[in-house]
Amino acid sequence: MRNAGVWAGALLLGFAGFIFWQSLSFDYYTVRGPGPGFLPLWLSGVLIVISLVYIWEAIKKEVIVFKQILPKGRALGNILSMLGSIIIFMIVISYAGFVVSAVILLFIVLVREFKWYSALGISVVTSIIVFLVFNSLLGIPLPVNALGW
Amino acid sequence: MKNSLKFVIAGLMIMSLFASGCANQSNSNSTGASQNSEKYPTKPIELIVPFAAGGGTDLVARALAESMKTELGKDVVVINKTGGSGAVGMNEGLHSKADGYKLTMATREIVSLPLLELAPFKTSEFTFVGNVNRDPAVLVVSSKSKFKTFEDLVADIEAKPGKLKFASAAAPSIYGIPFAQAANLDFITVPFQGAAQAVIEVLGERAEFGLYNPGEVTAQIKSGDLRPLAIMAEDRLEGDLKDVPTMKEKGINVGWAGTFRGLAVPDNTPDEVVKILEDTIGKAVKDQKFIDFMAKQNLFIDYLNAGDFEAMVEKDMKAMDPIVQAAKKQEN
Amino acid sequence: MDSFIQLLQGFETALTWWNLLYCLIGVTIGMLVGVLPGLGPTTATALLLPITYSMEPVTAIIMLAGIYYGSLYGGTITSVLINTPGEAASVITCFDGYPLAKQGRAGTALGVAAIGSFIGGTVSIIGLAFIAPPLAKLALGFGPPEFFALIVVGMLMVIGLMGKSLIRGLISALLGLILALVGMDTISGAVRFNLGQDFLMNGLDFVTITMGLFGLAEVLIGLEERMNAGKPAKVKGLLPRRDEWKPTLKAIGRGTGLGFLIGLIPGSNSVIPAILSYSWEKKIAKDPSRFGKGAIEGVAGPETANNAYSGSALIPLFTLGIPSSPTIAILFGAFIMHGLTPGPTLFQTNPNIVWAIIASMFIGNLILVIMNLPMAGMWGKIAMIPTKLLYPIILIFSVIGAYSVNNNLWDIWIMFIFGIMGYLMKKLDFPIAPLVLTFVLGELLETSLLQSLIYFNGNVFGFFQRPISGTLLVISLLVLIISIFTSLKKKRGILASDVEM
Repeated sequence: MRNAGVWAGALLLGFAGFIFWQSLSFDYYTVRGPGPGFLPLWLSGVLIVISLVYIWEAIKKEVIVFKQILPKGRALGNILSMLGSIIIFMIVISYAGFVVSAVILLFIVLVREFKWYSALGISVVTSIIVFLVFNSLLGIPLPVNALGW
Repeated sequence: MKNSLKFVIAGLMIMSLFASGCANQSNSNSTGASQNSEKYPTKPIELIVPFAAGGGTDLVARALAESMKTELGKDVVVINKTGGSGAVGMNEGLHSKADGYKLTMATREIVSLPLLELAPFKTSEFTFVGNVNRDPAVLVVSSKSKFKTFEDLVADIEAKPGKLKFASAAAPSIYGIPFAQAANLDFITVPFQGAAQAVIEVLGERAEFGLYNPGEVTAQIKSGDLRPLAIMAEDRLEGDLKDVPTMKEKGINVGWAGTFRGLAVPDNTPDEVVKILEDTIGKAVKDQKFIDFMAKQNLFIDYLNAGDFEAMVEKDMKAMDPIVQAAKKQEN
Repeated sequence: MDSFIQLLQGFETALTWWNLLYCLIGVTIGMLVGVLPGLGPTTATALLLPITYSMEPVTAIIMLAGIYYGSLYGGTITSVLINTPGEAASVITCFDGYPLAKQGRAGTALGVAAIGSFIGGTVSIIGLAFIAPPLAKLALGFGPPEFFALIVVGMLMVIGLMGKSLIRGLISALLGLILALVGMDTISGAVRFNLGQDFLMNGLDFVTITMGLFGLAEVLIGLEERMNAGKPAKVKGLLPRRDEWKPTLKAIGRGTGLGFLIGLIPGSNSVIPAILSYSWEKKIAKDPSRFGKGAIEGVAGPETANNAYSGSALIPLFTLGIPSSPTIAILFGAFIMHGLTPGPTLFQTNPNIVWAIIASMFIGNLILVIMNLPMAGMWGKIAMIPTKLLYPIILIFSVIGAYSVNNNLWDIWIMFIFGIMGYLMKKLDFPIAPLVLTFVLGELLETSLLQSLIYFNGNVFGFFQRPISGTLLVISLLVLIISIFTSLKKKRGILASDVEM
């Protein structure tokens, strides 16, 4: 199956089906009027129908193949490194605090375009300024390490 | 390369320039928690209001926060977390760190919602720190409405069962159900998110009547847009609403229905923190600014310390039982 | 005449240097939070409310109101420059503002938005000053059925607007509506679709979702196209070309009227006038195909409308004591905190304070337009920062923006997931705007639908027995039928513009 549209449609269908199934566990109608299951059941029901129409369209009318839309080579590398950097950021932040993890996040993305020392410099300066602005001035309690940053 | 660096630095400078603009503002407020282990509180305290800004609970919370701030020497910041007739905010308050930096406004819903199985917590999971206010519900109609007296309204509901609409500030209505039970009436309850929205429905005459706390409708009663017909209490109120009869006078034995508002924290909060908070509330309710504010808003001060508040909540759990049974019957 | 004299007295108070200073601080913070993704006017006013306790009531409210209307100016900037709305009301501005920036006309887009915002803001304050009380009474006629109908019309028009395919527009809109259901139901209190997670009980947050769908997805797409992206064009000029003046000013005029009227309706929000204005502009344009590719009216109309809304939305507050949006609710709190009761008696009991606040709003708008016009060029230059630097910075702001919503790391994961989703949606040509807009309006749609049905005893035809809701719903039915018809006939490309009322 190289047809991306069909996969997207199937994903939607699965999602809509899940919501529909979940909606059945809520009251559809109560004495006071429509219940919490009323709107989700209708919305997911309509979405099921439309996903089917979309899958049909994706097969018959507008075929979008994965090859056309998936990034290749350097572009793929850029995207994966950014997604990866966020995941690493999320793992590191609980231990090392915001500043360290933000430096890592920025460095991973920047190092692909800059010399390593420029990338490191920009990362450190940006992270510290962002930390000072949001944490100290705007009072947003960013996660910190044992040393308070 | 050099050029681009310049741009970034320029951009960041602009940013910090702006930020320093508000720095002068927020410095006085909160420069982060100080690291040394001073006595509680060492940083600003958040007070969760589980209802929308502008409602009665919000007003009490904001006035109380102001007076508590004077006592504690730290900011008490009011945060509105609406949803689920109060359950969302209360649940968040309950599941926050039990360090006394996140307080919850406990209203009567803290009793009713768990009983109705509409909240993911139990009333007993909270420690009740102190009660500051108790208000009966007042029945209002639009001043353009044909109902001039309480009897007019009751007669019309009886004449057209299941037709007249009651705009409720919450669902299920802990004012509407006892009213319907005591007077044996049948009307439609339309739930809204807070009194502010519900009052619009009465003003716009889409709903025939409403039951709210006095503080929530004082402005509209004073301006002549709403007409108060009766209050749900044993005795008449003092102040602006002293001429409004009680339902009891009108022969409907509804007893007291209304709300209370106090402070609660998660039950594993350290005792010394609870004690400090209890004392603070005890002093805050005697603050002249607080007293004046409450009087002006037609909110009635009724201070109970931690022990008395807990006892009152337990008593109310029993009193609420018939209401809960009625509400559950409606569900099914 | 009486009002006029009182307004002059208001200026006397507002023009003291102390009040001027706080007005300046307020609008500057407003601009800042508008620009910074994640920080919205509601958060900012709430954060700064405690600081105002020690101030004079007039000064405090002048500053907080400044944040409120200042943020609407700021939100435009990120929409135009990096295709990420700084706050909800600016979602629509992305459609044409960003294409303009890509053509090197970021300065023009920002300039026009600033002029429109100023005119819209000022006219609505004049309205607030002179015709508030009688109009507010009329607004009481708007109840749940009317809201429901208004939202349905707005949503269907958006679906009609976006992208090439009705099916994909509908899917996007339905996803937005379903996502809005996550969390505790406002009517019954039932918790839905939270997958057993406590942090989802309060539902998904608008900021988190937009940071992902717009901010992160934009970065991902950008990273991929960077190789063949040309140098950004020079930012030239702030003003539209000579032949664009007339349509621009007309769009500003229409936006002003529309925004003003919608502000009067309690419970509406600043997104609604922006959507309606955009579809109106597109409908009456001679060549609707320009929209989405950098039509100047598509920026002028909605930006004007949301600022016109900001002034008139204070009318229900001042005259009825009813806050109509979260930010105004906090302003309401500020009034109460300082011993003032907004409501019908406010103009009688505290005329000096009310009029000083109204006067300060004129001054604040003037400061904002001065701040924005010459500086639009400067902001515009940000668009020229090489993308290899700009993208990492957007990335870090998106992360903090998502985090600061609830100070919770989970929200960053949610943003991450929506970022990937937005990327895939763009790849498959699904429009994203319908998702965001239906998400914003979803809760109001559900509550107003359920409330209406209770009013009508479950009878759906009750909507058609009320003149306003009936008319609006008939219009939306027509829009839907025509869209389906045209898309079946494959004439959508030609007719798309005609179906959006």
